[in-house]
Amino acid sequence: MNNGQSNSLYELCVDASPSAQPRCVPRSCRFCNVNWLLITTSLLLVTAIEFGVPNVVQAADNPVAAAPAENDDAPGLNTRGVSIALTGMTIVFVALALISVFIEALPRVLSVVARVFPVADEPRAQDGHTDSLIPEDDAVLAAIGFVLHTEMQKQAMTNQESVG
Amino acid sequence: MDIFSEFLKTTGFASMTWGNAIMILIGILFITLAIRKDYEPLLLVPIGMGAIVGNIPLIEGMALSVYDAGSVLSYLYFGVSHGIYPPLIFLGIGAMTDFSTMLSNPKLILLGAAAQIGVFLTFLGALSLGFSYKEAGAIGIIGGADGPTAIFLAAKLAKELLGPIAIAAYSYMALVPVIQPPIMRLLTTRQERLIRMAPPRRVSQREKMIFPVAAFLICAMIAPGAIVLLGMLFFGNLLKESLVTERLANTARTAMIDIVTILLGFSVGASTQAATFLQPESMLIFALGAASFAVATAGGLLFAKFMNLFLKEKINPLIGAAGVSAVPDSARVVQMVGQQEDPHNFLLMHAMAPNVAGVIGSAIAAGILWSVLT
Repeated sequence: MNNGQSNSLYELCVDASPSAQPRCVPRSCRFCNVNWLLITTSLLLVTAIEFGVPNVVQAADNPVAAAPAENDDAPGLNTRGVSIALTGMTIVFVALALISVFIEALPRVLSVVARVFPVADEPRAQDGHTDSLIPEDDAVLAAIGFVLHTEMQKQAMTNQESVG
Repeated sequence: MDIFSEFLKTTGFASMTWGNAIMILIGILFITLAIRKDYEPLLLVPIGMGAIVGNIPLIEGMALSVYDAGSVLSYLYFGVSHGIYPPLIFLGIGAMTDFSTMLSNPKLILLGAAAQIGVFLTFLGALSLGFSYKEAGAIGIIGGADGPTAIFLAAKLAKELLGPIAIAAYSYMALVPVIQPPIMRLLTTRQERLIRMAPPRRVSQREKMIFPVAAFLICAMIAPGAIVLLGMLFFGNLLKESLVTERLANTARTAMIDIVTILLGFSVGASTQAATFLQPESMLIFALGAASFAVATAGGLLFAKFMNLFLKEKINPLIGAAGVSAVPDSARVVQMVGQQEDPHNFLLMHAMAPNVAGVIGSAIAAGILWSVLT
């Protein structure tokens, strides 16, 4: 099953099962990774919603809300600054965690889509793949060369015999 | 004779100030560092030459400098002051970035987020030093370790600080191999630096094609302020990965990014006139910039260690340092420091994941600061 393609649903179930054969277990448990990422994202989302995002987003959208209190407007470290920093950091985490979750789920979604709409031959990237075609080409060339060499030697032997 | 003496008064020698001389020397230093030490030559040569050009004393009544309306330099500087060049550079970066390593190990993206702590702590630091909110936001983004992003946000929030911020951002990017290794060694044990990571999985071309569109939608919905930078970044990447616009991708990542880099570097350099650049604030900005790089590096490293508490398959915490988005310098530094402990440990590909995530993270951070502080 685990023939280099690591994006099927079946593999996910096998990976998640404790009785999986060692050959079916990939380098890391992707099911656990998804859970880990989902938990992180959920926590960040809850934190953002509870503590800051609405206030900052509203402040950005609404000029009245955007006008800070007199004390907060003054330069210097104050509540508004700390709140912008915390909220900003949380939003960055949420955005990147969501991208992370999306990427983790993408192979599975694609494998489901591929069952419904099979793709005959996927175009290959020019780079980013670990398995290059060049070594295979070299092997084929070496094989052809070996056969040619053997055949020519046989021919040469036959010629020598006929001359002799 | 009167005409001659009048002419002498208009020469650079007559109106040269100590500030101009210092800035010209700084320009020469940049060019020397670029040529002799190979520190970011593609940026430091244009910036250095621009600094020399921008600090030749001006003739009264003639529109010559970047700040004089109608001067040639002011038209070149228009792309900087209105934030046009940075998105074009992002287009080129997108067209040359391979997100495969990030797609193959998505949890490493969080390291790129963690490193953005440098942006927000520097923002707080700038506030505590008396800078206004907008200035503090523009200074904070230096911690994103991304020159175009820093210029973009400074142009939007604090144009008067654009010169020092741009110079600080690019100088520290050039100094990544000097700033990061001591922090990396300080915050990790030898055992941690020896951790080997499994090779990344193969990523299908369809994943690569879908990613730029989906990632842009996610980022833009959460932080609309980042759509200009991220839109261009992911557009460039789509040109590359779609495999049907290779000619456009090739132009974006070669000729176009080179032209924009020349214009941006030169006009930023020319904007560093002594009268506006040699101010106490500039020194504070440089100090804050150095601190932000250190904090961003530490943030990524410490978060990698934190993640290791929960992961069965440990990650090498050194790659957390690549969360600062100085692509690909910080990833190279990770590889270098990792190989000092184990010459057969190849961390470059793993480090590229947080590295490119850092680019996205810093653009999001810039978008947030822009929308909140405008």
